[in-house]
Amino acid sequence: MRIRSFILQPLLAGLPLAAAMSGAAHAQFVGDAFFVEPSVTAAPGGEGAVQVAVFAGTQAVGAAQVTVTYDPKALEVLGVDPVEAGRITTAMQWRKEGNVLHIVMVNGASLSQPIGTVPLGKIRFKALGAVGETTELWAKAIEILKPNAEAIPPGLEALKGDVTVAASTTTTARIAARSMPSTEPSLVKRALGMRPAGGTVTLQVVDGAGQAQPVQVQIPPAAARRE
Amino acid sequence: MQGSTRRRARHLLAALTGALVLTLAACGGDGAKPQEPPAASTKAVIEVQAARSSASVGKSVDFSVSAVTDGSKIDQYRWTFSDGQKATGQRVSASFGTAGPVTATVQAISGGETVAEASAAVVVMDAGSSPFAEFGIPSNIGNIAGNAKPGLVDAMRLAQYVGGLNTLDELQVARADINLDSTVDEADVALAMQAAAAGQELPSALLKAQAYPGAVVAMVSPALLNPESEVAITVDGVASPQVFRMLPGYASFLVPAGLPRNAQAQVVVSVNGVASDTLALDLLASLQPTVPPAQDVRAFFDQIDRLMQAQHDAITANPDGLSAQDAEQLRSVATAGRGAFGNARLELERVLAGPNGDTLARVFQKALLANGMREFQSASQEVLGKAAANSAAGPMAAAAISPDQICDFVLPELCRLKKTADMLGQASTIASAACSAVTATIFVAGAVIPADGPAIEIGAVAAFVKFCVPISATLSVASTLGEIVKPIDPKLYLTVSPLSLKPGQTALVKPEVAFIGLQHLCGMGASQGAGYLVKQIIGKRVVAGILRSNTAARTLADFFAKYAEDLYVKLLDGLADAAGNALDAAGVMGAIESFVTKRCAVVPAGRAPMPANRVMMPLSADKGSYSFNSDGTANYSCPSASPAAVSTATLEASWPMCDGLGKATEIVGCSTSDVTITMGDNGNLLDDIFEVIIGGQTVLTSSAPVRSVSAEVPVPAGRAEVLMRGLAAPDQVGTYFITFSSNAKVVAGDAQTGSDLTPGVTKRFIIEVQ
Repeated sequence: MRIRSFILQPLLAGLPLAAAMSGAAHAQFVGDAFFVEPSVTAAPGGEGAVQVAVFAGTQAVGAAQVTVTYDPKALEVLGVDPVEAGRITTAMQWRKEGNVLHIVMVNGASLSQPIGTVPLGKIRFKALGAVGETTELWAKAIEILKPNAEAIPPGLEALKGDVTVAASTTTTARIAARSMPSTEPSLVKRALGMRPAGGTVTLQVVDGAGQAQPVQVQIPPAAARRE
Repeated sequence: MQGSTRRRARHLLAALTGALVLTLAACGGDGAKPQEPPAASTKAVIEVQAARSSASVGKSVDFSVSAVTDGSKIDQYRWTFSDGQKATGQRVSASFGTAGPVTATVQAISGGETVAEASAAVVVMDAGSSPFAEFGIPSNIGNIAGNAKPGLVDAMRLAQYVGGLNTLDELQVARADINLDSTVDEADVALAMQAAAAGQELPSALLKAQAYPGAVVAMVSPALLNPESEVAITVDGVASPQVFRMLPGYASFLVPAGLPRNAQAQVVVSVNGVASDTLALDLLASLQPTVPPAQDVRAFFDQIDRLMQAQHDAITANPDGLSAQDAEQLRSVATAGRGAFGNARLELERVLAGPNGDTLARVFQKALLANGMREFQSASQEVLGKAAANSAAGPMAAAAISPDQICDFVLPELCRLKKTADMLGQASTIASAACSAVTATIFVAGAVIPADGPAIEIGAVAAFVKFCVPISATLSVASTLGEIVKPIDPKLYLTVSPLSLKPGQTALVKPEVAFIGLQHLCGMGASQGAGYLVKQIIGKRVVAGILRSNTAARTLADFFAKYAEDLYVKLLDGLADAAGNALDAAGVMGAIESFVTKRCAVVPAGRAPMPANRVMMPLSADKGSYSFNSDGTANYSCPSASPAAVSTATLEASWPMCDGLGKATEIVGCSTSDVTITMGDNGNLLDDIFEVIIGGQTVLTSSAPVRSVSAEVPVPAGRAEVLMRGLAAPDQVGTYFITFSSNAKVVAGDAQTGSDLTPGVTKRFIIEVQ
């Protein structure tokens, strides 16, 4: 009995922290659908991917439905691949309706997981634009359910992501290493549409040579949803 | 509530009638097409056609009629519509003020007499109404939560159920089986998620993915709510007339018999010529493994027509306790059946749904059974009669069974069982198909009102359970018996020993019958209470067999299981009752019981003797003669003529087996010569042992090494094969020799002496016997 208490206490103590960290990591409001890595690059005619997720805070997610709106002249959606939500394998289905992707995730594996950021799927696309062009995608939560079927109110706003067509791209690891901080107002505004709750966003900015340059933008934390 | 239910039931009946008329029309061509009038009362054949199979309330629909045969001169065409409107002319138009099925009947008048009559139906729809709700069309597939429509919460609960995280009640499980494959699994989760992703009810294409002949494929499509919509069905690219269109938003399709394997069907709902909804189907060929599917649909219906004709004969000859009015009504059904199966079907359903439906159904069933199994019953009665005679004589002991008893009782008994099983298997094709067709339309009507018990009671269960289930049960009994009895294959054998004789010598002739496959049947009743056990085994197979092989029964059972559990239970009870009745009624059951209890104990598992004096074919005098023994065997004697006159004689046994005349022959040599064969070990050491074989028989050997040993062996004149085999050679050197008397000349083969005839080695010599 004492052993059990000894083990449980640190675990229990760590849970809120983990949840809080999870929320802080992406700095979303509960109920938002968003892109995990909101600004990505792709070569002209090349393939790229963005991962869409919902944020549920400390609540477990039983099912979620989001829409992703995109410009079919700039992107050709090739498919949506399932992703693991932590250690939970969820089921995902998607359908394309015009320029809107409907993505549905259901969780038949756990009643207590996943919590926090819950990835739904990875959208694979082909970039149709020219070097230097940036196209936006918008993720919107339609319905999020706890495993007991109670609703988690979906965020009212559609959150932005973008795809920049670059002559050459950088890998995610190199982005972190090479990204430069910026407080340039237009970049802050661009990042704010991706992380309205605040946090750090790495944007892809194309230089004169068509090379994508990662730029870090710090968004001040918002106590509440901006109206 | 009760009043509402009754109204709905009446409405259903009206809808059913309309649909049936439409069905008849559809059999003649595409869409709302013509039907033929009853042949008995007409002198001409006319075709009636509605321009549309559905129409909006208040919108005009064109109808036309034409004569298709050179019968009487038609003076006038008189039209009567089911809403009371009347019109005259070859082409008329009518509009209808209320929604629902409308029947247009036209009479061809010649010389003041009606010489032909035909009808077609149109579904009139009010585009502004909510027919889904009005008619109770099921929209709850995938709707586990039972809320407004299937959605994300349903997909989640389904996933949790599949993942073992929650439980669902029976109704929810039924609703969760979205693809109707009787399993709730990831595939259903995916479909539910697709529906949620689509933000709408499940696509109609999801309702049924595959179907079997006789099954009714229901199509619920919003596109069908449009009065201007039309349904077109093609099977492997060929337009199919088997479309039922009776309610707004709903259409159905009877999968035809005679499908090629893996046929593809495409159902297209179009509005004003533009495809609005499609349903792709994999149509599976017949499930009945021993019954080939009908060659074509027309032949299929022709078969049914013949069945109806036979039913007519049976019914008219056997009114059995009916009032004169009821008997007359039933006769009219049968008469209609002679003219066109569709007419009879329509009338039959009307009659069965009527106040005396119970009685009529019972009599009809009896008549059908009497007809379908007339030959079987008479055969089984004969069998039973003989079985009873045997029983009266007391059980036969194994030692006491005589070849004559095998010949006179056991073999005919078995052959009758096989024959009836074959016959009933054939009948089951026809009757099951007829039954499926009859119930298909009723089922459609019942299916669209799943929550309305009384309506289903009238529309489906009453007719199905009372009419089709007993037939199915009986036929399934037959089919099951066929499975058991059919493999038993009696064959005639003949044993003659020896086969090589000299003139005037005799051989023993023993004819036998082998019951190949009998062990399975006897094994079923090996213990005490054999008949009861057999009945139980068959009974279990019957109910399972009905649900497996009768597509209408399975479709209905599936449907009830999902939407009306109480009726499902009732259906299964009906099946069980019917199976029990059928087993009791089927004389062949008694025959099997009799066979198992009386015969299995006494018929040898291998071969049973047959009487030689009855089965051996006569011989001409120059081929020898028989003398018959009291134990059923015979002695054959070669003629005493010179060997040159008769070299061989063919002995032949013949007796009717189940599949025709059984024959068995054996050739006996009657001109043998005695050949002296000498062999031995001629080596330095006397240590080797050999044997000599002719015609598969060892004719010379020794128990110890010998220098020389001889035997005089009768060998037929001509060439013969002699084998010499090594049996012992301790030093691995088998030194041998073999010689033959002067009347046998070695013409081919191995060396007649050597040192390599060790165990396992065989030397071969061909000798020419004088």
